[in-house]
Amino acid sequence: MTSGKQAKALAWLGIRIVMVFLSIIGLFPFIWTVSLSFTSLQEAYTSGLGLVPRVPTLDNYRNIFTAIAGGQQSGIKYFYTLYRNSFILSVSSVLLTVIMSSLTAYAFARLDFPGRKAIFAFFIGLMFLPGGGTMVATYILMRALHLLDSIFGLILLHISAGGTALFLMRQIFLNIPQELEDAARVDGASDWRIAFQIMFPLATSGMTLIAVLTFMSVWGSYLVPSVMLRSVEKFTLPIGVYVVVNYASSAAVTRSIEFPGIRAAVMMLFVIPVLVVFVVLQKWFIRGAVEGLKL
Amino acid sequence: MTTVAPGFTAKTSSGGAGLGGLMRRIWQSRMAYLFIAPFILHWLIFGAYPYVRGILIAFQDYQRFKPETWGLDSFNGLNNLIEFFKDPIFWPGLKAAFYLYIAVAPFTFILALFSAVLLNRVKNPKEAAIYRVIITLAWVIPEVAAMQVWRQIYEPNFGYLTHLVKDVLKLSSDPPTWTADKFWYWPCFAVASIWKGYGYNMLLFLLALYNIPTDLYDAAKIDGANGWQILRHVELPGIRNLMVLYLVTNVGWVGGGVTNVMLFGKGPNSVGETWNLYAFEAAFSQGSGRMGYSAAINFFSGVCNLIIAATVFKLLPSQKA
Repeated sequence: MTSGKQAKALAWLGIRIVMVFLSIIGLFPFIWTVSLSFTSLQEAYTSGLGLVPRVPTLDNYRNIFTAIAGGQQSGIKYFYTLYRNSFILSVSSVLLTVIMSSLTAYAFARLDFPGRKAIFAFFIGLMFLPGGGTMVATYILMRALHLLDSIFGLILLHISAGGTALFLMRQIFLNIPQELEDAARVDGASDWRIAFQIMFPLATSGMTLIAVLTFMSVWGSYLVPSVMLRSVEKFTLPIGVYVVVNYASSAAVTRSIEFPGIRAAVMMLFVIPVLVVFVVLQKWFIRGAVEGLKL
Repeated sequence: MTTVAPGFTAKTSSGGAGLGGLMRRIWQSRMAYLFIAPFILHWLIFGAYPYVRGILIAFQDYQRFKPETWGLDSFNGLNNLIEFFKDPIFWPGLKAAFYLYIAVAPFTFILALFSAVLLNRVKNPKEAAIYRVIITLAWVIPEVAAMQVWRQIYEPNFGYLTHLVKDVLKLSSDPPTWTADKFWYWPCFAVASIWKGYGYNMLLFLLALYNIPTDLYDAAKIDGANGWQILRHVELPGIRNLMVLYLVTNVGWVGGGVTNVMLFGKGPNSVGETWNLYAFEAAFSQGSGRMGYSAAINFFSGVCNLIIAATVFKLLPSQKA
């Protein structure tokens, strides 16, 4: 029996060692970025830069705004615009995605209507079809709609109520016991009441999951906005940050940030909101995901 | 029959035969149609139309800055594809995508599966949550930021990798220039991509493992199964469907990445330039606007990927009962 116990203890230890190792690897780029963002200009350009700055400094955070364009004021305005646009884009896309995918999934899961199975199978099948020049055609469509350089246009393009969201939400509605619905019906509840007062509140874990997933992808969305947006007043964070750190000349940003410490500080400002959302909501997120993948 | 609620009648009512019956059922299901209407409408405009138009445009010499090419008379049949087959990017682009795939996908899969299986054995929920959050954190980071951070790590003079190799591990006094080096570009890219991607895949596998009924584990334990046997006979079969789905949806490597290569950098002499990135640049980079040509490249790589995925799906052994 002792050997069995020993093997168990060994397995326990082995799992911890691997997990801690993976955690360190996973966290390393964050640690490096955080450290860099507190590193002074002189120190960052000495070779042999370690993980902890010898003389930590807040200068990088202080200098973010003056580092770009024509000074403090225009720097603050630039970042304010990025934040505002990203916030409007993300929140709107998240709300519309959650509402649309919930309504659609509810219909597919709990309502019976002619064509239900065929339409659902069609949309799931679409997930596997390869596209051709979809991006090119989307550009042409948005140009025709006069929505090229517009946040509203981007919102429309970032609603992703089909595919994964639809599939997961449908699964969540399917898992709600039929008895609940029957009992409400016996009590004389109308279809609308059953849907909005009984079923939708029970699907909040799934809605949280869809909301977090959508928020994460929209907050970091780079490719589509890079194609659609032209004017600086419409830039979102990923575009604005990319422009600032990559020497890309642009009308608003006359000087790109070349100093790694300030670049790291910019990255922190960009990444922190989405990290906070994920860490705070991760419990509900996992709950929703477990239910949504229960087949 | 008179008090049946709309939307639920199909199960209970006989509905009546023929067109009139169908029309009545449709009318009774109006709530369902109302619910799916916004989604369908949005999909028709922003999903279906660009999809179809994107395939059509592949057979057209559509140029962004020449409105005279926007009409239907610019259809040129297979000319775009023929031009692409002769394009100097054809073989290098295919090679780049292959390297990217080989360097990233297998390791991501193995690492994700391995860590999911181990994490599933951490029974303390708080402890498991901590590992889970840390490992999935990289997936949460927007690609723009993640790739920028790795480029900083790989920076040949002041980056951490040079410091690590030179001063900490003392492997070499003159380390390579990492991403500017023709050979080291690929491992560097692979490490950044695996770091970014495996957490999400681990999460998928982990969720599938969470969904394996506990009585299967209990039964295995009563039979005296050890950890290895539980993995072999309970866990792997339990997540088999997900692994198949993962394999089939990820095996299409031909077109290669766009955003990841663009943000990480194409490397020396653009060794990392894939077909799809080349296509994206043909359509959207400054001064260029060859949208028809771009769509043709995307279309071709999409068809190749579909063929690969279908072949892999066929070749996989069918599920045992």
